[in-house]
Amino acid sequence: MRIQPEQLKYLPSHEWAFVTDEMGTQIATIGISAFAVQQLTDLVFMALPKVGTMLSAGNEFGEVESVKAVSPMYTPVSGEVIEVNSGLVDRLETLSDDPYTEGWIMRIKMTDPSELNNLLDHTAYEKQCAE
Amino acid sequence: MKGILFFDPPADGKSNMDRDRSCAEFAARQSVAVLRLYCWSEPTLSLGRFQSIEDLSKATNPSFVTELLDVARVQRTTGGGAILHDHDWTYSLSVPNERGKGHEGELYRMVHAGLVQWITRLGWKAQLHQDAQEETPLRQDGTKEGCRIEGNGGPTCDSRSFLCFDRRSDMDIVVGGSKVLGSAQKRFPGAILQHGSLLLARSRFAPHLRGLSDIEESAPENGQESRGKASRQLAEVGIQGMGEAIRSALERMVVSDWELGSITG
Repeated sequence: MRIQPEQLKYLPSHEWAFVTDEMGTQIATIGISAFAVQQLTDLVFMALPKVGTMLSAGNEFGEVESVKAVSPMYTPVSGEVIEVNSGLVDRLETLSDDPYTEGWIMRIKMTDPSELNNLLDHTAYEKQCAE
Repeated sequence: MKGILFFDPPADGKSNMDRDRSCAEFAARQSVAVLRLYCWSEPTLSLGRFQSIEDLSKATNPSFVTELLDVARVQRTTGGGAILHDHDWTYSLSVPNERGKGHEGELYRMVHAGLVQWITRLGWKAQLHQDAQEETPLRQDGTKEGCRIEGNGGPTCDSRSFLCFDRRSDMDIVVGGSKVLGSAQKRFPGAILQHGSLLLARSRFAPHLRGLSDIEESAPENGQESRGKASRQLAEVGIQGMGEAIRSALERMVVSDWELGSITG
């Protein structure tokens, strides 16, 4: 399934969440936006969380290193990490080529779906990026 | 925005890294820029955020591996390659940031442009790597300094070298083909920390890396008396001169009001 940026919710720090209902459980797929990838330029390393890690919304879950800068990544929602895109570390160019589908970073079993109300929709996020 | 500039006495690796982190936290908390300049009390290898000492065994230039294993080590929060702090001056600049990822490049440009001007005024021909690539002389093996042969192609800048000063990126400062200053960044909540080192002289632990005083000045004047003039000027202005150059570069664009001082907490 292709994920479109208009379908997503965003943190101001450029992480996105895409939520699906899987047999009554809310699962959030998390990634970073095309704008963030473009700004970071030349990614060289990514540190990902372990499956089973419990995260709270706004917590740092990993780091991404570009040619010279190390930046933290924050989770938009709370829950348990149930899957990480471990192959991404060896092909970081995927983040540039397809940040919203193949470039997903992790999937979280959400514990509080109401947290989505605290995130930016696509229009608000685009406005922030344009400022 | 206001800024605080201060010069710390030499300290060990952990103390220096802890102090840099405190500066970033202070900058975020107080919404001020913090510029700190310092030296190292002993030769120290600072590893990039995701490097380990085991990576040294994969280094493309094995001649310095044994020597470096004996040097004190510390892990940086910033990315990039390992830096051997022996004969160098280091700066750290912490700037509040509320704009999310991106926008880091401007800090590099400002600081490095100011330092290029300063080194040039001292008497060396300093350039950003992106402006100097065509002038870098070839080694006997056909590679350029900071570069290696990759596959069947021509010389390629090696961004994976273990040592920062064996790497090249566009914003690095080079003199006579040698990288003499590189910087790296770490984004903390509310602040960006950027730090970098100016290589002053060759170290016995990595003798293939030239420092400023090992490099011929840009326009050597006739006569023995004028030789080493830039090195003498560098020694005269000291690390304070480097701090003033960065302060001046930032004053024009970001920080309008500097004070000499320190931070607490």
